[in-house]
Amino acid sequence: MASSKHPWLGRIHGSGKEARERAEADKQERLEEGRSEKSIILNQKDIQTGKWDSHKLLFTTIGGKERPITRDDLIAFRQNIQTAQHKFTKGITAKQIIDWSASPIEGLHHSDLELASKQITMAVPVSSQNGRVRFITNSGTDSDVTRHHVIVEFLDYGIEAASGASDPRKAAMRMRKGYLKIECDCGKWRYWLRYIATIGGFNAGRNETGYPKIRNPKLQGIGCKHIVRVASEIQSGSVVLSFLTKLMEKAKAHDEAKSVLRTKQEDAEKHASNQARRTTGNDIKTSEHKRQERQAKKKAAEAIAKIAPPKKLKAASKITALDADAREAKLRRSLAEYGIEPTKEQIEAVRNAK
Amino acid sequence: MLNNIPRAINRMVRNVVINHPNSLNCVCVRKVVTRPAGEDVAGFPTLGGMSVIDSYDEEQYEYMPLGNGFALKTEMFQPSLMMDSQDANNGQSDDFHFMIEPENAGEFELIKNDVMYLLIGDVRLAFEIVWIETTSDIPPYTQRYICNRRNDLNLSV
Repeated sequence: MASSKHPWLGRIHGSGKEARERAEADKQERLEEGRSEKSIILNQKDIQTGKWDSHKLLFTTIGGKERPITRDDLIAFRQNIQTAQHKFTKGITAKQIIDWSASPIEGLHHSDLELASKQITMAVPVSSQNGRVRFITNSGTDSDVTRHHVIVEFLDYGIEAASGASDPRKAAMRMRKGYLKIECDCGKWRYWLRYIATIGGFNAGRNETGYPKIRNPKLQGIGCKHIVRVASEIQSGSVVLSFLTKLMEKAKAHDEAKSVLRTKQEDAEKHASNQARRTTGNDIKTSEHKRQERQAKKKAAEAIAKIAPPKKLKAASKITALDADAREAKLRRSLAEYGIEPTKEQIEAVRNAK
Repeated sequence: MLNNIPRAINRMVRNVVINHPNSLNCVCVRKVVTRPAGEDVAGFPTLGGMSVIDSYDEEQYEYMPLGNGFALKTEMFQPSLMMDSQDANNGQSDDFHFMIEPENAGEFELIKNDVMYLLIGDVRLAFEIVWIETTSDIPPYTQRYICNRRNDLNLSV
């Protein structure tokens, strides 16, 4: 790990083994806990029947304080399960993961969207087998590990890979907007959210049948901060798009539409460096944020349109050159002074200027 | 009598800002809430609906055009990170200090939260005035504007 430029990223080689070991340890612990005589897991049978062994002293935090579970709680749990299942009738998309992570789960101070924006600033796709892609993200400030493994299964992989109709990039663009299954190896996913993903049918890993009666009895939230960062990269990150494009290229070339892809250490380092240097911040925006931004921009543009053009155009405000490349270079220099890299839209506007 | 000093400084500042080779054209707008005022509470206007805790959160608003102007970046240069291509630096701070003058003297007076667009070719770079500072302690003062970038409002013509 020490040889990596990014301590959190570590070595890519062998990271798959680490992910498998963590998943296996999680599975074993759950299995042992389920079999234990002291188990306090409230499984599906307990919820359905309302009967469990007397040694199980079950508590919940519904109502704000920890207290023993009553019959009414079980009715509320069943209702919560139905509500959650109804919400995910068609699966989950990256956009939904972001939009539904904007509010904190009851009892917690920060939403996963907020935490992802502040703490989890990097996510790199490292390997893929068919539509199942493994990402590595950096960990939060109070974590006992340096990195987390997030598994994302692209459910449209099969359709897109087998279709010979379109080019790989377009297929990748459609795929990243499609439905996903997700999994993370962090504690938040394990104790708060894995159950929701299981009953919602979008869990990419071990199924969890124990109701989160203490930590998340109202079944709120959708993805942990690592998953939200990955969802953001899936939705709009160029690295993920190029990774999925390569995956599609391989899949479309294979007779059975299968593909395996691994990111090289130096490429992962490069992606991590680029993400670490983002100049426009790491904020992840929900659809509502984006809508408000579009609205504000439109209103500001309307106001500016009412102002007459300046009487005298200063030389510093002009970008004049015969060559489009020279105009773009001048724009880059001018904006760099304000710590900004021009967007594609701005570059196009200057390059096409008459 | 002492008031003549900041007035003279302001006249000079206006001359410098308009004629300085590094100054840029700018255009200024102001966010105004258009929601009809509700009933006063203890003499103060109320804010908008649920979850509106600041005028920023208001849903009903417009940008009011103020006019054209000139803006000159004023802070002293500090060591800065360079771009990868090493042909420009990448800025050193999140705060930008500007002197801003309207195209026609006295056409508008900027206040906190006004948005100033710098014209760079066909790109309009948005900055919001977050603080106004003075360099002299005598009324009517000599204003400088501390601005933050508003990338979400940037426009391309």
